[in-house]
Amino acid sequence: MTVPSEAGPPVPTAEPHRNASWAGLVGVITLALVLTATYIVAQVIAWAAPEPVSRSAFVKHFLLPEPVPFRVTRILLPIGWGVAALLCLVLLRTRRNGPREAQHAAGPLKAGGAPGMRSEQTVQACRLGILGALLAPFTIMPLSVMVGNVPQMLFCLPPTLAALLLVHRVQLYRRMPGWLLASGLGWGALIGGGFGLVMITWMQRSVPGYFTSGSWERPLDGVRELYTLFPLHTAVVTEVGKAAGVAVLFLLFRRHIDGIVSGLVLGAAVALGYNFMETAYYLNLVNPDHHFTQLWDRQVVGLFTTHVAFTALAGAGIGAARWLPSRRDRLLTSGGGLLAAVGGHFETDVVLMRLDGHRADWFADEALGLLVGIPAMTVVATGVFVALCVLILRRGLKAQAAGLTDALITEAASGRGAVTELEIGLLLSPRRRLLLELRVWRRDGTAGLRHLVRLQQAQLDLATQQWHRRRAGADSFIPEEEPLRERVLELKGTPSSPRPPALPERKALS
Amino acid sequence: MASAAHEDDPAEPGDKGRTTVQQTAPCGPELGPRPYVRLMTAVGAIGAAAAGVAAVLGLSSVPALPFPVDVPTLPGMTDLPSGLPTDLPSTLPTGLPTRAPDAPPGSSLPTSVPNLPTSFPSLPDLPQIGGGS
Repeated sequence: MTVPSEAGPPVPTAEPHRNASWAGLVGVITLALVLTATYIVAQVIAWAAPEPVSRSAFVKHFLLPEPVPFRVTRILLPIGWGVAALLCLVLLRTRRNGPREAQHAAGPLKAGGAPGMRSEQTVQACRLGILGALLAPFTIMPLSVMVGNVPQMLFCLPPTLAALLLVHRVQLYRRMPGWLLASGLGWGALIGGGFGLVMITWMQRSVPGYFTSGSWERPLDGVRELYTLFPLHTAVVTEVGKAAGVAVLFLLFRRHIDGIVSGLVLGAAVALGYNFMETAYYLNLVNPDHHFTQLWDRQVVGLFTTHVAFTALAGAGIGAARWLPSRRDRLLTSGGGLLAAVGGHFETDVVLMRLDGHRADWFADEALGLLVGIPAMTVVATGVFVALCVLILRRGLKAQAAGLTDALITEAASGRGAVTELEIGLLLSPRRRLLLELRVWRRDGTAGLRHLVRLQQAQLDLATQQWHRRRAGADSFIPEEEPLRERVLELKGTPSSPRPPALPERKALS
Repeated sequence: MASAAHEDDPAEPGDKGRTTVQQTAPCGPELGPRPYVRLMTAVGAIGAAAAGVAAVLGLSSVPALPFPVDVPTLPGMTDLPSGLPTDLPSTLPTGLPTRAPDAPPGSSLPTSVPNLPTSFPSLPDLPQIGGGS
């Protein structure tokens, strides 16, 4: 194995990173505007929809009273748009006055530099305010579900948290911070879930009119189209809402989301949040006698095989786009992941509904149908997509292992002490690290275990960033190497080795 | 994957936060110029195929949710039986009555209308349809 030379590419400075973070926030606002535009389209379709009329009784389903949280969301969303528009005006004014203030600051106030900084802070506050005004109303429906169904939520919480921990541990080498996965879970439960619920409610209330009004004599035709459109629409809006969460976190915290594995894991975390909210919502709707079936279906059998599998594919596409220099390739990977998520969700809803209609015929015993029939039907419906997730994860982890091997050898060869040759084998073996963690936990307790995990993660982070620096699509989000190395040495309790002597300035040489 | 892809797409100038770092010696599964592009494209194609299957299945089979399959309707012009007689009878019947009754039946007509029911059974509660799953 060849050891790459020490001379690396130019180390990115902090300033472009900061500017790129601002650009990331603008991208997030753009995504929020896309969600808003989708909602507006749904509202226009609802306004133009004919009244659902039919001679058959099934039309009763679409004439239910409007849920109060939905009505509140409908009122709050335009108010949020108004607030966002006002903040946009403030933002434009601040930006227009910014250069003047900066010019002023360059004079007598140069020492403090306060006006320019204040202007920057105002811009940042306005952007965050716009984001909050656009997205916060979507949280009303999930919050009402959670507040009104505390016992159901308590049922769903343990499997969801256990699954989140498992998803975190699936990152066998460098792991994203836990707060990032928790943020993904929060997006899935509140924003993604709220967007999905609002859009599905619109669909249920408006679109049936288009399909039932002209089907007086043969309602089957209209209903068949309608019941095909329902799962398609549900798949599109839920997957777009969840994938938007992955994209938002990617744009804001790109330093931590460094490839196909982290994208896949983040997608799974977002989906776990959505699944949590959706289970509580359905537990509230169905008869309490069916609660066990719902929990079994959504929190055990379907926990990793439905939402998690679909959004993990969407997240993998976004994560894979991180290192692609060409915009076309980035669109291909992220679009491919999203298309797989939508297609898989749509297919699963349609196929599972039909298979479930025959469950009682295939399994005379109801308990057998529940314990064997539902898992078997889930495998038939979603097996391909779960297998794709496993395949992508396996390839991503294999690539990580290969990249880390080179980087760890380079770091050990540098003699700086952050990684020694003896540690390379341990860092590259997740099984050995797990056994060591267990031994340290038994000997030193939680504090010792936490210290060990921090040290190993810091070493893997150092090696991972070295690996990324050699990529064709390396960007300015890759953190500087020296602080990462100092962090490792600090955790090892060894004094920081002296830096290599700086090269004399060109002027001094001449 | 990376070794299979060798299309060189230059980075676009508008990409923010990207430096012009060039890889000198590509090695490892992810260090090619277009890692995962083909894999994710294939994954997307599988998703599109699944969506197609679902659409065909949804539009060609009976929905699993409960709804009335048939509604009795009056026969329209399009529903007339096809085997109607096309030729007119050549001879008219001859044994028609020639004498009409002299007086209406009078006393045997009903005088009261039966009471109609005033309460009707309500529709049964059906499960919620649609929704995300």
